[in-house]
Amino acid sequence: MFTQEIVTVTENKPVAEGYFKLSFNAPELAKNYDPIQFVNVKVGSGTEFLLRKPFSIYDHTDTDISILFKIYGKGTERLSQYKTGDSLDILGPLGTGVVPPKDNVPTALIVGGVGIGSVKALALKMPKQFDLFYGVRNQGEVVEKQEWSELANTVFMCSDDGSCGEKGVVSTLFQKQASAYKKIYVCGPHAMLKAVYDVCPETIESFFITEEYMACGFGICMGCVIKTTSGYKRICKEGPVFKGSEIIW
Amino acid sequence: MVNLDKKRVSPVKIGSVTYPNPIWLASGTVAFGAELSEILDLNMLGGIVLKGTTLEPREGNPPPRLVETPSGLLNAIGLQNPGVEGLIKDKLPFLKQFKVPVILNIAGKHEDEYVSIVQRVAEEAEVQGYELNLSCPNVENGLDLGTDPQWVESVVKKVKKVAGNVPVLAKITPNVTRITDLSKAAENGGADAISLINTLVGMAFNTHTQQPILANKIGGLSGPAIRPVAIRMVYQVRQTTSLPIVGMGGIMNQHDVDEFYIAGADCVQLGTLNFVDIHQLRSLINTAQS
Ligand SMILES: Cc1cc2nc3c(=O)[nH]c(=O)nc-3n(C[C@H](O)[C@H](O)[C@H](O)COP(=O)(O)OP(=O)(O)OC[C@H]3O[C@@H](n4cnc5c(N)ncnc54)[C@H](O)[C@@H]3O)c2cc1C
Ligand SMILES: Cc1cc2nc3c(=O)[nH]c(=O)nc-3n(C[C@H](O)[C@H](O)[C@H](O)COP(=O)(O)O)c2cc1C
Ligand code: FES
Repeated sequence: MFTQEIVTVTENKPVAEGYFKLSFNAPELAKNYDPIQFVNVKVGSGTEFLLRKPFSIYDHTDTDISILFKIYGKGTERLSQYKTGDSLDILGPLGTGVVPPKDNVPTALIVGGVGIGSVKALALKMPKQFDLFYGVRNQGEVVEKQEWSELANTVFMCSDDGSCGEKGVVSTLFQKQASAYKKIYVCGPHAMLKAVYDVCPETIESFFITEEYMACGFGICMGCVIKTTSGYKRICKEGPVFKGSEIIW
Repeated sequence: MVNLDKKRVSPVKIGSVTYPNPIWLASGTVAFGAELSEILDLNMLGGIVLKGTTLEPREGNPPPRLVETPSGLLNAIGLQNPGVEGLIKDKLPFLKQFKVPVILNIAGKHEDEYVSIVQRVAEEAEVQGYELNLSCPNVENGLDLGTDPQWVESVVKKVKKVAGNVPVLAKITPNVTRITDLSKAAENGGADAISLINTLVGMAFNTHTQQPILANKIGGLSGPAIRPVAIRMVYQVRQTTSLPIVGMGGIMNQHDVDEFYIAGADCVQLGTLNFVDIHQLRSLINTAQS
């Protein structure tokens, strides 16, 4: 069940260069979402932006939900200007979430950049049996470093410029140790997802968190599809998580 | 002066069917109703027009399929749909639990396909209207055929022959110079109502890559950006026919609905609004309850 709600912003703070964590009051939602689900947010007023913009649910408290976003264009720029007490119109929770694995198979979360925003809710609900592979452009982009090092067994970092962790891309970093894992969850730009898929041994069960432009966010426009072995599927409805073997890359 | 208080709650008679109120939902913006029923009481609608259905299943266009433009939505879904057999088997049964009048939206590649789809549905299911999509700009040849008045008249005539008591609504293409040529052609063919407007053909580029944003390159524009065009067309068609007019294009609130009534529409369909604001959608539906 999803609803449209007008919520109140409780905090909106920068958490890295160009990154914001925005929290809002939504006690029902905080109790009733699955990891990897998202909310579709109306940014600005009137037709300043006609369509809603999707953001993963990052984290929650008893009363609040937060999203983590990076400024990309005008919409996220506008969202970064929201202040405590402002109201925000949201639709959610949307998408098919992930039931956190109860088994203790060796698991890796592999993220690039703002992809970190989609996996925290999952990390919080998983047994502490996972490693994090985290790729960023540079040091300034790293979000909640301390918290992640407590959540994960080990955090493997890399950056494009070598300013934090190894210099290089996260798919290469992961490839070196891939044989240690049985299951991976991957989130980031499409090119990064594909690079991880390409180096991922077939023995690993892989799940990819995908993105596409969205209009409705709940399955009625057919706008947000991804090509799979059983035809086009809606990222907002059947997704956003798909098995690596299911996606036509 | 149009009596808006009355108009807003008036049942709408088209052919042999009386639709309970003038607020309907537009094709391509409700899929087949299931997802929307989770958040909206479909029973309160005057009608629901299902996703354009073709004879064979269609997988649709590759992504990106949509992009926002100023006050508008540009889309090239490419008529992804399960085909008429899929519709009958998997989609229509779900809608039986609701009392909302169900209108099929039919997209044929040529005249005979429109006829075949109607015949197939008539054998298997009960629906309260056939809306002929004579205007889908995203699909090969759709545009060329739908701009020809002779073709429009001929298709409507053929469908009327097999439609029995079920009203036939001609959704003509707005991508022409003189909309009344098409509305007259549809009327001559025996249409029970005219639906307008469908999306306007448009395009958007990514200026960094200098590539079109939509994989299909060209798409259909909907939303508030097209409302003045829609209002103008409803107005012009109203001057030349007494057939019921089903108006749509960019409706976002009660003001916009009223503007369509004033221009000459008997009822309206809400499209892009369904993607953005369910609260507003509910409010418009509530106003339509007498
Ligand atoms: C299910 C889902 C979950 C998401 N979760 C998050 C999240 O947790 N945090 C976050 O920061 N972002 C997330 N996003 C992406 C976010 O929705 C976009 O960054 C945002 O809509 C950009 O809006 P804008 O107006 O700032 O940028 P725009 O002006 O719309 O675009 C700026 C640039 O980003 C590209 N772009 C925008 N949206 C998309 C998209 N959906 N897919 C591919 N490219 C795009 C455009 O091509 C353009 O180059 C998610 C997207 C989806 C589909
Ligand atoms: C994503 C999308 C898909 C659509 N698909 C169809 C379709 O299958 N058949 C059709 O006749 N019209 C289709 N339309 C057009 C709408 O029914 C409507 O005519 C148009 O969007 C104008 O109304 P609006 O501005 O309120 O959305 C589609 C529109 C959108 C936005
Ligand atoms: S965004 Fe509309 S179907 Fe996914």
